[in-house]
Amino acid sequence: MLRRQRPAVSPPAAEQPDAEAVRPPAALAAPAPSWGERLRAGPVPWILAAGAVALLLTVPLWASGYQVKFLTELYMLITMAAAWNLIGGLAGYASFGHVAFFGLGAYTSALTIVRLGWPFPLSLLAGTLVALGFALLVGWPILRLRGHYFAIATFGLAEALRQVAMAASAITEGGKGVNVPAVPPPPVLRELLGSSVAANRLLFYALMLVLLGATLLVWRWVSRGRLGYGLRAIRADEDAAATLGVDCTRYKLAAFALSAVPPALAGGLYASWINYIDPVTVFNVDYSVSMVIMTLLGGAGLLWGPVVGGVLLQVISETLWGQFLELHTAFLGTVLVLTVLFLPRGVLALVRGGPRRPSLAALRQHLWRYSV
Amino acid sequence: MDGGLLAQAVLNGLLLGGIYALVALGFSLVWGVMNVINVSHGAFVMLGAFTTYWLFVRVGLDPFLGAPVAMALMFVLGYLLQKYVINLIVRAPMFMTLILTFGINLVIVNLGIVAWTGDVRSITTGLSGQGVVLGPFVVPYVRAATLLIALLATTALFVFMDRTRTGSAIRATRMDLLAAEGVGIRIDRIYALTFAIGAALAGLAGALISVTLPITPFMGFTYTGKAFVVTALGGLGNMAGALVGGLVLGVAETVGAALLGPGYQDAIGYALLVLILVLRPSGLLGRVGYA
Repeated sequence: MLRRQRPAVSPPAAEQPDAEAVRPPAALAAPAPSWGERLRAGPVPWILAAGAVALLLTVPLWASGYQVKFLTELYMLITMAAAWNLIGGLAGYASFGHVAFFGLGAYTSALTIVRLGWPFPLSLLAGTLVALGFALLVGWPILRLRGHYFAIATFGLAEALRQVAMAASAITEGGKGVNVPAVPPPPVLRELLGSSVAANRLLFYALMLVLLGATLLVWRWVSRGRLGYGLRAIRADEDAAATLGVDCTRYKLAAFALSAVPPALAGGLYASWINYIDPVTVFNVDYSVSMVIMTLLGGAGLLWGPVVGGVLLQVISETLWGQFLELHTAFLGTVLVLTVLFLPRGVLALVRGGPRRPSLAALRQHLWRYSV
Repeated sequence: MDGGLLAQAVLNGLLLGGIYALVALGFSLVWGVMNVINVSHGAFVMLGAFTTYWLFVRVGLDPFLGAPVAMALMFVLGYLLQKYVINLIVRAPMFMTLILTFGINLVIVNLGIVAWTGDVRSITTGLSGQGVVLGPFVVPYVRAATLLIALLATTALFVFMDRTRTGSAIRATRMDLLAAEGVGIRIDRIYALTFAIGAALAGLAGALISVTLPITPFMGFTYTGKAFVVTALGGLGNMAGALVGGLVLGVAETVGAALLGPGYQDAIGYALLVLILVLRPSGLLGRVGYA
């Protein structure tokens, strides 16, 4: 049985008995927590994080419209990558169809607003519930499968959903797409910024940022809890995990369902942010791919992996985008190939555990590890 | 819906299924022997189709004669790709090779779009649109030829695997990598050869598709999806299974499309996939390959 484990940091200094008086011989003493460890255990990271969020929230007040749009989209993509990191990173189950939840969230939200006249927050909730229900419904059969069957089954499901959205035009308007009316921004914001366009820009920027923060917090909470350890055990060796009493299917299902929520919310936000959705855009396989690439590039199974990978990928992609518009996908593919071949554990793995001296022998050993 | 239409749908399904079977044959072989899910398989199908197309348009070579050229080109491409790229991580967790081939697929498809634009093309030969009338049914010549070639290719691969020394070596490698290495089989060559055969079969499938269906640079992923469904239906690395699975999928799609409407054709295939994975994870002809 897996027990909830504490993170590997020493207890805070205040809890230790009078350290000076009863200090055991140096050889036996546990190493005193370093400054870094003490800082990390205290409230400092939380204060820093809150400060960073507050700072980021002011961006729309001084940045250009293009920059705000770029960042809003970046947050959206990282949110989805962080959600993917739950099932793909922790459990090692690569979903190639996570865009399904984005599309379901976008369509449910858009259609409840347009056809039923629901208010925006309620439509977001509806989108989340539909995606969650779908995740549970399809997750139960396909999560009994091992990784590779799962990977393509999810891909197939997303493609099937796109086609259904295209074909069931009586409900979804098919390929014509759905025009989503703009959300009336809170009056306070409108007065503060002078126009409802600027207010809406700030509103969706802030909502995406909050969604990203919330997703990272949920990931951290899952990762440190019983579920997270169970999922890691599944990733390491599913049979062994089952022997140890991990209810594999249930754990995977929980992770899969949880990982469906942020993309669904992101999809709902996207629909009202861009004001137009169609099957090709919101069920675009590129979203599924970007979730995988961002997470892998940064480091799968690490909290900051999707964030680092997402920022890297989008910044590189954006700087190259202007010059090689046509070769954009080839560029993504090349990044993917090079990452898998040379950085299988992501960029963050390079800096974890301190800097290392590069050596040719180590590189060769690393390169030929998995070849025949 | 009357019985005649339904029977014609079943017949069309069988003819379509021949293509699916051929696409899945190489995919299933690579998966079964190397434990690699080659997501770029559909990209090889696309390259095969375009090779045949350009040979027909520029040189005037008949597509059925262009097919061997496409196969040869794909064989070489597959061999090099396995030897110099995929081989680097071929024994890593399957997740990694899946993502690697996914990246390769993105690159090939994008280069295809840049080179040939996204236009939909098709080949019209002298035989296109003609067919033999059997009672109430119509069987187009090219589709019948496609099904026949699919049957021949399956048989040929079966004979190769069952009767030749190299085929035995491939089967041995599939059963136990270390033991095969121990008896002196050059694993790296077997892997490269297996991947090359898989790619060549994809090239053949592409050549046949170019005569019967419209082609675009991004047609590949659909066929990778079909290959996966067929492999799941037929069982991993099982050649007869690929044939049966392909035919079953073809019939399910055409009959489903006739009943529900053409927009749902692909969705039916994927629904079938999930159903099969739930009910019979080892495939219709049921023998477990790799877990």
